[in-house]
Amino acid sequence: MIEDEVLKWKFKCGSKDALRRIYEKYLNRLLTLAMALLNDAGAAEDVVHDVFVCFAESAENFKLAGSLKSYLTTCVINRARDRIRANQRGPMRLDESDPISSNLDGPEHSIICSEESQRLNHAIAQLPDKQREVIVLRLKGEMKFRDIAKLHGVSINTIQGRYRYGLNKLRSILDGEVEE
Amino acid sequence: MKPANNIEKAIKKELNFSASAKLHDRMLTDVLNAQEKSKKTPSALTEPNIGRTIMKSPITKLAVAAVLAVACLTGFYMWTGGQSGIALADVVARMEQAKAYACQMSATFRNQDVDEMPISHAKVLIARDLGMKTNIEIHHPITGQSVLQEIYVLLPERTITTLMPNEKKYSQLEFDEASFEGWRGEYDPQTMVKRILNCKHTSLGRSTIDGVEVESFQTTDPNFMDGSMGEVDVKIWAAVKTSLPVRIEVDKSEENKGHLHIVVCDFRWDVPVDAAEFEPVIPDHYTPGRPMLQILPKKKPAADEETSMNQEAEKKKRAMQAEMGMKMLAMSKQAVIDEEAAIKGLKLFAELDSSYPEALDMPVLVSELARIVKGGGPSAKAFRETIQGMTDEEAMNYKLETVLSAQGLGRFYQTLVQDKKDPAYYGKSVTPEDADQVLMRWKVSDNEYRVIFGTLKAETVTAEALAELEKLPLE
Repeated sequence: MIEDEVLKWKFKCGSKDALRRIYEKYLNRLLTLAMALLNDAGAAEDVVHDVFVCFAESAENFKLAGSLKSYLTTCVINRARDRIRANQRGPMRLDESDPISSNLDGPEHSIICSEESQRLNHAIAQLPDKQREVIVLRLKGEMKFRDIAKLHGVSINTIQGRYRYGLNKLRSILDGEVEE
Repeated sequence: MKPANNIEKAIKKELNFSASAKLHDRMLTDVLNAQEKSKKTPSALTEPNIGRTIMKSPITKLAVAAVLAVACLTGFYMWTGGQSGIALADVVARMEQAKAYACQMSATFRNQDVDEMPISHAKVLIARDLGMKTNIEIHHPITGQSVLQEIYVLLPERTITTLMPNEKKYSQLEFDEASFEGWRGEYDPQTMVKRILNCKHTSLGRSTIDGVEVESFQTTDPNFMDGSMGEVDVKIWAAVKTSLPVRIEVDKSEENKGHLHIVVCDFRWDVPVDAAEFEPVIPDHYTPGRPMLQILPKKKPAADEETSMNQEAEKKKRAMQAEMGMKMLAMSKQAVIDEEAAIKGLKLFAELDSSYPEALDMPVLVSELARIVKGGGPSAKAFRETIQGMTDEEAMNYKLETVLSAQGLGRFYQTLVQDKKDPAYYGKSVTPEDADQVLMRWKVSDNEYRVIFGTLKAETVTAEALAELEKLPLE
């Protein structure tokens, strides 16, 4: 946290090094979040790219209160949700989008992940939109149920219900894979 | 079938994506270019420094500046205005006849985000042969509490004694000859006359204050007080009948920072003075300490080039401290005080000291923080090293943010106490490793409590569950 406070101040003061450090510190975290929400490597890349570019342009007006991690996370969530809303079909399924690469496939691919990540993301992508979003925001966005409820404009009980149902469904999906 | 918590763990730990080297570099180039393009104005790094250290409580310096400046202002009625009905010679003569006088001074602050708020209020008694006695109440923006000080500047003994009732402490300093001369040079009204004589001023005409006919004058001369206060607007109202001041106002504004307003009023001239009033009584149980507000006499420097530079630096430092005080007031008032702020404050202590503060009283928090950052722990060293690599302004802002984090914690707890939320805090026994032990809790509904555990995880639990949880730390 202290490092982030320093980075925020330096960034606000125009430091290129601070921006580079913030980028390197949070890039993969934000990519993971975007991938889990969108399950589309191109869209995730676009979202994270736009978040960082906007952030870079905002130095002078950047609000210094609050956590940098939360701020960037929220930016990605908002942009991902906008994208989901804009796309009437919802997030693309794995079989509809360009397949993401595993880290064994070589460096030419933009986003790299392990087979286990790919398997988990594949399972998450099969969840209904609302359940998927709650699970991703809770487990990868590290958001509180209260905040997720606020974001969705529903009660905390509804969010906890979606989370519970989502986990049960995930369990079925993953167990089904094992049985196969 | 996989248990749900295994799936949660798997997603948390195993679901990770990373950028390829190519994507990393391409995106970074775009990001840095975006930053470069957005730099239309000079960065804040080039702005004037506004302070060196928050730990020295700049708002206190601001309060000191206000009080001392106002103390000096008691000699401001010696205006030279040729158009005035009050001749300077009359005022000087009248003033010299006054053996003692009393007045009250107050300083307030406001800016676009903060309504008028008090900084300090002082009652002052000045006796020509004895010295100055000041009872000052400082409203501290960090602690949110008022701090009292009794200050005795005794001319015959050439001592300054400060009593600090809140802390049960006292401080005594002796003037040496040079310091005494320096003090006289700064505070003696006769010297003040000469200074004011050098200022450009205008007459604002006659009016009435509390039924007394007065003549008022104004100066905005930046050389006022040798420029140590920066740009100020000073007004004085002197009684036509007695040639003695009735009211003095000083306004200091900084664009985008705030407005400091000082008022001196309730003058009582030639008040009877008992010498005993100027004999500080130090209670037996008071121990020596360093006052939060201290009038330290400066040795009158020799007039060489180096000294001149030191004076300039000192002047600049005072101005920076005053500005920093304004900034701190504004930030303090804007801060959101909630559970998140409390956790942020707790996290700060955990990271710096691997432990939590023993109590959440504001003075304890601030002194704990000061102790930690001055300590020898690795995080404290890292903290200092980080600051060393910063510009003055960056370091000041960083410290300011750090103190405000601690302040957020203390203020949140204060709110819980005030709102009777049945708060409790176990920082003495709970450490950042204690995942299952209650570090802090408060009531959120009839049968529910919000709990922050040692690892800073927050949860809402029933009163019964809380009772079970609290058994361990309380044992």
